[in-house]
Amino acid sequence: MTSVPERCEQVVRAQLAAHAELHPAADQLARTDDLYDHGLTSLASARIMLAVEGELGIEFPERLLGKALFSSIGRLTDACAELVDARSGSVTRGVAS
Amino acid sequence: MTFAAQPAAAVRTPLTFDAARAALAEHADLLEQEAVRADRTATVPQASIDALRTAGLWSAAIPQEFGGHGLGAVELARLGMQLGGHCSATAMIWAMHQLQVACLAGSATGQPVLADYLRRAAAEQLLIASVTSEAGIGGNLRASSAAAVRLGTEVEFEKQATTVSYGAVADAFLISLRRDETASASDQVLVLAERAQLDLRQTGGWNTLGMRGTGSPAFLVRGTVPADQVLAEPFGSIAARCMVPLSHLLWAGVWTGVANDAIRRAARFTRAKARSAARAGNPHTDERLGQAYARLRLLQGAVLHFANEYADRGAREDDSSLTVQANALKTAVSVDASRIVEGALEICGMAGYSEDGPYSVARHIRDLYSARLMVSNRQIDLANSDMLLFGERMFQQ
Repeated sequence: MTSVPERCEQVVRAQLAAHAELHPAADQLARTDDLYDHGLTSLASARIMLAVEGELGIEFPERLLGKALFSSIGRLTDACAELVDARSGSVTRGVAS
Repeated sequence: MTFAAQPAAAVRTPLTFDAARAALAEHADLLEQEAVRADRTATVPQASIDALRTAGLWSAAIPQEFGGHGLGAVELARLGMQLGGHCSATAMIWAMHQLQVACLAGSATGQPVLADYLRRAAAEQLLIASVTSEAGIGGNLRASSAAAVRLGTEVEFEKQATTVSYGAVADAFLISLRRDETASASDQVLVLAERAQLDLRQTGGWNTLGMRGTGSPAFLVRGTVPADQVLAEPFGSIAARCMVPLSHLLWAGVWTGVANDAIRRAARFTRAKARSAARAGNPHTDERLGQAYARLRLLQGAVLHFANEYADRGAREDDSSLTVQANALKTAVSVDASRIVEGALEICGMAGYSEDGPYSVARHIRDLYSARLMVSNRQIDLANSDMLLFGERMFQQ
């Protein structure tokens, strides 16, 4: 079974590939690579936000929204995983982690 | 909380601009809750006034030599914008009070009684209201009917004021009067009077469309004060140097802050809509948000530009170009801020029209309709039209 962080990273990489033209491509980037250095634009990040939210059934709270959230695959993935965990609550928390 | 309540007479360490902003931000939630209550009940937001007292923010414009924070025009305008985004009534009360202390500060250096009062106002976070309106003079700041009548070492006066904002809770008042019974309507002085020196009678109600929390009914103001509480500088000079430019600047800042909050709400609404559209597989957003924001930026820029100009040049009595610019800022921002909020209403639709909920801009709209009336735009535009006939100086770029 795929863990929550794994599933989140898959979604993040897939949506980056669909909505941003990155060099190298999203599946070639490390978790810590700066996405803005590799071609991510602010405009694309707004679309990626909506797409990732839709795929994972989450909403980023306003305090998280901003350029920093999209700075790396790792950062975005961690934020997503936290929100997915928070949504599924204590029932699945043990399974996911 | 960082700013614990202090003993009333404590000498405060001056706040930097950043510290003042942070102190204000700490009270944002309270201010926003009180804004709703003040609007519903048409009473001043007392809890917000108390919170700003705890934070020491009433002495923002009092010079440091008198125990205040000594913040400049740009900083005051930006604080007004920030406050306006939380509670328009608290913001307007704060702006009007800063104006009063700024007018007092100009005379305090040569008048020990005023200097002492400012020190007390800073230490005890006292609130000063303005009594410049008067029945029967048609809203003209530069005309009075009531006179300061000299009786030995004191002056006596009786003035029927049409609107005294936060008059019910102010600790002191600055009252414009004719210099004496023989003076012409425009030969005016300002008189500082503490509440205990006055017989104050509320003679009207305050049940308005908006700005309901400023509590601005009519008052009959009667009193006797020592003659050294009359500001030595003629009111005409104080008005040109400080009251007109600073009031228009700070009000414009507050109105811009109200508009900014409306656009913030419209952005939240648009984000929520974009999310549902994306979930439905039809991602799109609303270009009206970008348009409204562009217009908001122009207003914010105009406010800060004038603030810088006022801070750099200071205002001299003969500097009519500064008056023209202050007037233009007031009439333009008062109308355009309303239009921007109307844009937010169109974006939010019925959720914006509702008085409740996170996307409501109903109070914003009601509040901002006061902007074109508090000193009527028509009167200000007429004055500017006259002054613009005088020469090319106003058109230098």
